[in-house]
Amino acid sequence: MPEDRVKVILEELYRRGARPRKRISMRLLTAASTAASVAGLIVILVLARGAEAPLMSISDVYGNYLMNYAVVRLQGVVDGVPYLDNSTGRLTIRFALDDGTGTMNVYAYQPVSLELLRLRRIPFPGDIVTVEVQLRVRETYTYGILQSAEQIEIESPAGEPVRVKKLTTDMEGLLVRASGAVTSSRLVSSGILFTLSTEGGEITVLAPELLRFYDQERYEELVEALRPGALVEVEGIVYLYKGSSPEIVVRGFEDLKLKPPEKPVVAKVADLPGLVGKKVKLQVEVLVEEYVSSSREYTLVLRDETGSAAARAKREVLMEADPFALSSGPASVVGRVAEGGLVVVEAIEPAAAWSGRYVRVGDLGTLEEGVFVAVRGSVRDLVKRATFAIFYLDDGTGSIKVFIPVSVLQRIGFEIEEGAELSVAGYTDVYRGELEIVVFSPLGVRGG
Amino acid sequence: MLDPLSVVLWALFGVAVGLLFSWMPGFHVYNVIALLTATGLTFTFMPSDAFPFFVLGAIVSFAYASTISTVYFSVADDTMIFMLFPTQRYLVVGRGHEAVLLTLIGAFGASLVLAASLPILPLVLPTLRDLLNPYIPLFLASLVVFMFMSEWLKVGDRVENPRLRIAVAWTQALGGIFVFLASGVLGFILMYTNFLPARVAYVRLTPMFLGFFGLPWVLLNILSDVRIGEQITEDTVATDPRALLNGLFGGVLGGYIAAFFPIITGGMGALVAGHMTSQRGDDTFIVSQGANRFVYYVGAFLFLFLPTAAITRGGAAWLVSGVYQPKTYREYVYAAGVLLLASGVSFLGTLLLSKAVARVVTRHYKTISYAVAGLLFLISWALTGFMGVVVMVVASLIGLAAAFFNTRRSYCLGGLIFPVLLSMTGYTEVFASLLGL
Amino acid sequence: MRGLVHFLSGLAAATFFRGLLMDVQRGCLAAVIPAACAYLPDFFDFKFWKFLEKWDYNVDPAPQDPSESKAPKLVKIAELSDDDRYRFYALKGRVLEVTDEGEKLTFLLDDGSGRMRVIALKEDREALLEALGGPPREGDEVQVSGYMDYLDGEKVFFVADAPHPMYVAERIARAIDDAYSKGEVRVKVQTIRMSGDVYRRYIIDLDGENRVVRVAMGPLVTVGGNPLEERGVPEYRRVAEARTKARFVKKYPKPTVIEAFSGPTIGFKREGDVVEEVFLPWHREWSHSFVTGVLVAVIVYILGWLAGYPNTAQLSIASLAGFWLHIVEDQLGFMGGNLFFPFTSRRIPGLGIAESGSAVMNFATAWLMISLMIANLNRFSPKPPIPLPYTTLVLLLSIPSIALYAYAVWRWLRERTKVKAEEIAAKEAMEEEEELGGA
Repeated sequence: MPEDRVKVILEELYRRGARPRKRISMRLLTAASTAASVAGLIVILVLARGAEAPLMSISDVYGNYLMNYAVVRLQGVVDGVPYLDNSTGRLTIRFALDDGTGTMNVYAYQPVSLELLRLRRIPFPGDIVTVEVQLRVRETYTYGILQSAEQIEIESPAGEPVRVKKLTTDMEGLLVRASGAVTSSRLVSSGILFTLSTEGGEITVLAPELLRFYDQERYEELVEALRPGALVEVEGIVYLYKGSSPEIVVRGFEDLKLKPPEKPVVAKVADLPGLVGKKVKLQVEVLVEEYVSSSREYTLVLRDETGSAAARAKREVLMEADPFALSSGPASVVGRVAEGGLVVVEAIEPAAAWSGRYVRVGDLGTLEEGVFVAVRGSVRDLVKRATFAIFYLDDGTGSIKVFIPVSVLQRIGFEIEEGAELSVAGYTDVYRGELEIVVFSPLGVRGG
Repeated sequence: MLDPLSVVLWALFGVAVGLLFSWMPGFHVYNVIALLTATGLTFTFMPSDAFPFFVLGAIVSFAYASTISTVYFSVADDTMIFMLFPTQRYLVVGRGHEAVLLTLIGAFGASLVLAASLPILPLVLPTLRDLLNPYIPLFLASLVVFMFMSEWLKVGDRVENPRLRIAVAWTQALGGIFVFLASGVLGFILMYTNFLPARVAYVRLTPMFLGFFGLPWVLLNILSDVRIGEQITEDTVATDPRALLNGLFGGVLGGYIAAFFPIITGGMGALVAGHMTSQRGDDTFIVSQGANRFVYYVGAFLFLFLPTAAITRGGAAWLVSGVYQPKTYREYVYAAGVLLLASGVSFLGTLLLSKAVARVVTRHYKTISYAVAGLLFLISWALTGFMGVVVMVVASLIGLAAAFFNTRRSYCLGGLIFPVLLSMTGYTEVFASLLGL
Repeated sequence: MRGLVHFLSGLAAATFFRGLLMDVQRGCLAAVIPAACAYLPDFFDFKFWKFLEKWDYNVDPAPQDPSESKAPKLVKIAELSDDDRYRFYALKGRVLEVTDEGEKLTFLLDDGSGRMRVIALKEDREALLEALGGPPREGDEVQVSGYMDYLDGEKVFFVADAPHPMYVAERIARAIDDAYSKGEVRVKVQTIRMSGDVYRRYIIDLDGENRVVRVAMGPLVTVGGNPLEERGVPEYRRVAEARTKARFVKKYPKPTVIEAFSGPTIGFKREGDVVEEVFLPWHREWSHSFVTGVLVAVIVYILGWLAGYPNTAQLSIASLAGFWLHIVEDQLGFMGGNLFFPFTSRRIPGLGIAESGSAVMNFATAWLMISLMIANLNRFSPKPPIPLPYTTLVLLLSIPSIALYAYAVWRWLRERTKVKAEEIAAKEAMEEEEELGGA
């Protein structure tokens, strides 16, 4: 109880005998501990200066929980396009490093990521990179965190780029240059993916989203400029997407040179053999022969009073054309003439607006296969699957099967329902002996 | 997936390990887990999905049993230290066991609150984390600035001359700044260089913390000339319900703050909560310490079990996540059960330990202090080698400086806070260049 | 309010400014400055102004041993002067000539510098005998504590475990008379720290009606104010009185209790024909002025501008808001502040809604600030995680604060009295000084 303590205090106050009390100078202790701390820190600092992070292999550190928080150096080749994300308001950069023993992701968080961006010190596929990272070892994955923008060394492929007309898988990591016309372009999660038509074929090019972080305005201009028909010269590294599809990855805006658009030559079909390599503009009737799913292209027949020619067009090109207007009459087709007079179509535009004329279902059998038609009626026997929708349109004169692929169905903007009154426009096709209308564009479906 | 009985058994094993070691001064349960992990002993017979529950049991028992070392083994001579901590004051008046009991009451109350909050955490925490994550550096820096600004300058109050008075008073404040910066430099070197080999990276900060918080107090015990009276080991406490509730509320609040925010420790969380709830009184303070420590250690570790967003906080969580990451709601519910079971067992175990230690400490506390000092050197050497011992010695000198300057011991957390703040604000490279690294 | 609550207010003020928050994400932590400015008023006082105060009287009834920082200080007999009468010291020396007369034990002590008669009376005699394990014998080396006094013109040393309260009473009475002639006097009253981090409580009672300064020595207490002993000091040296010539007025009817940590400064100021007591005169003067806040904001602006910081205007406005919030929050208490220094010279009392240490008010304010912070961080997020409109979120989150404020106001309206206000103001001032920094 407290009284005991009072007793102890009283014993301190009144004492018999000259018990020498240990006196420790607090000032001395304070000064000594301060001085010794500083001396100790200096010793540690001197020793630390000579302690380099060990160069380790990914297989040694991956999954090794004893290495959690270790600072190590890794060296390898960058595998894949760097990924940038600022959805949370803070920029994160991630790239994968492959040192031959394994692959590991390296992250840079803000503000290091901002500094890397500012210094343009972001590695690309094919770059040999040495990084000093702090490891984080989780149960199922291990990654490294870059602590400073100074702790990454990048060795990019150097030398003169090799001019190519087509890509093969053995070109991985090679610095190349190619030029041609854009035949299709779309925005994907990793950037602008476009196809370049060269004399040797087609080359896929990726302008990575990283460029948007470099200069948002310029990137948006690029999105607009990289339309089918644009003439471009690109330089970049060949990267194998998913390990098998080669594409050129551009590393900066300076690696993408857009040439002034070529003015198309107004021509007739009969003129085409003499215009190989040129960009032409034709006023023709367009018929669809077939859709080649592997290349996502349509093979077409272009016909005018001077003859007919074969053509091919990317799915995206046809998707942008108004099928209702195409059903009214000829179209203006812009494209580049390839060997043999084949036209690689870059744009199709109906020559005139839609007349409003519908074909009666009962008359469809009299028409040529592959023509553009517009019909209307009630939806019957609607069947929806993962990759398409099929229904019959009944206008009182008969029923016609309508096929809509899922790529179009998803973009229509409304649900097609059994019994609904619908207008559709597309091309006629015979599938397994049955005549059907293939709707190739979301513009080809209207309610009522 | 483990069956419930296995979960219970592994958790109780963890409790036993925790009770065995946690009462010893300087022994942090993270050190024990790290030692067991490093030697691989745990994995020769423990399935990896049992590891989180074993660690949870150990942490719960640590949250309870470590109060014994706080109360009984950090005695200070009042001639060397300006102000004793409440638990020290209880010890010197023979009421050490009562201080332990108050802490246990706080811890037990906190365990009930924590268990009750578990259904809400998966809903609230992910949103809070998304909201606050971008601003963690701001909160951390704010807390550090507040700690410096609010430090009570204890000395110099009796000096007649105003200029000398302010100079004497400010030696404490400047001493605090020195401790923060010195520990910050040490922490920076350990975090960003390979002064300690990479193979011991997962425990690279252990010798530093042993040096900051373990060894200085043991050395002070050895240097001091304190007589500790006979301890009363009756299970009674002199307090009132209002003080208990105030302490519990403040402690839980502080513990949640410390558990949620990275780097912010229990002590800093307690400072925040203590101000927010305006705590007064030794009994309130001790209860809040018990609650705070429980929620800080156990709550932080429990975040790892959150199915909606596994938040990794604390050394134990990082270690466990490298081995096995709990994923399911079932494991989350198991964790709730383990929390309560381990709390009950640890409460009783700690109570018994306290009585046993109370009988011994009065007679042999200096001998125990010598033994503990030796043990700390041994742990440091076993985990991190000779260089780790060097780190521990230097950190001890800094920790002692904190004591002799009469400044906050928590400034030693600069060893963690300073390098992290530099990293978050992008000045790591600048500071490294400054040090020539 | 407690310090952190003020600090949080400044931090909350900073979160109203998008520029400051965006800078945090870029690694610039300027948003801490408004929080620091919100704490500045108390920082100025407790870190600087308090120490720079000049004391006219330093009343230290129990000087501390410089190496042990506790009383009693060991002195030589030759060092004891008239000024040391009634002060608590320790003497160590050889015992000569012991006389034990039942209730009175007397012996001569020779410490090498001189000789002095040591007298132990009544309970003090019993305590001494118990501590020494029996009466001292001639030739024994002993250490005793107590105070010097005069008996029949001779300096003697009375064995005691505390100073005589007359030491304090006399000096305060003298200070009051001095204040009457000089205009103002500042008295620092020191605490009595004993072994084991316990303190000797004593009480100063200013009886203006009878012109008496009364001091009573109390029991040993813990830092938290809990007594360790029931009876305290023996009756014969428990209370002392000293008379003043000047009339004086004590604003706060209850006595001033001196316990642990740091003793208060009491100002005595002549107002007309009486001397008024001013508690903690250095606190909440120029530091707690709206004008000072403006000055601080201007300094912040200038420094920001010199540093080329782009959001300087936002920073200085937030700093001003933080500083002013501190003043407003303090006005909810009792002590108030000198709000318009240098244009005013006196503290304006607070509204007295609750003490500065009130758990209800502190938590309510802290929670309100946290609610505002959460709402601001949410609305400035590119993708707000909480899908609620700003006002709704603020209202929802602040429900606990609103309820607590309502409770505090209700209590205030119910219990408001002038006497209580002044008494609590004094207690508030003492508690603010003792704010513990923690470990």
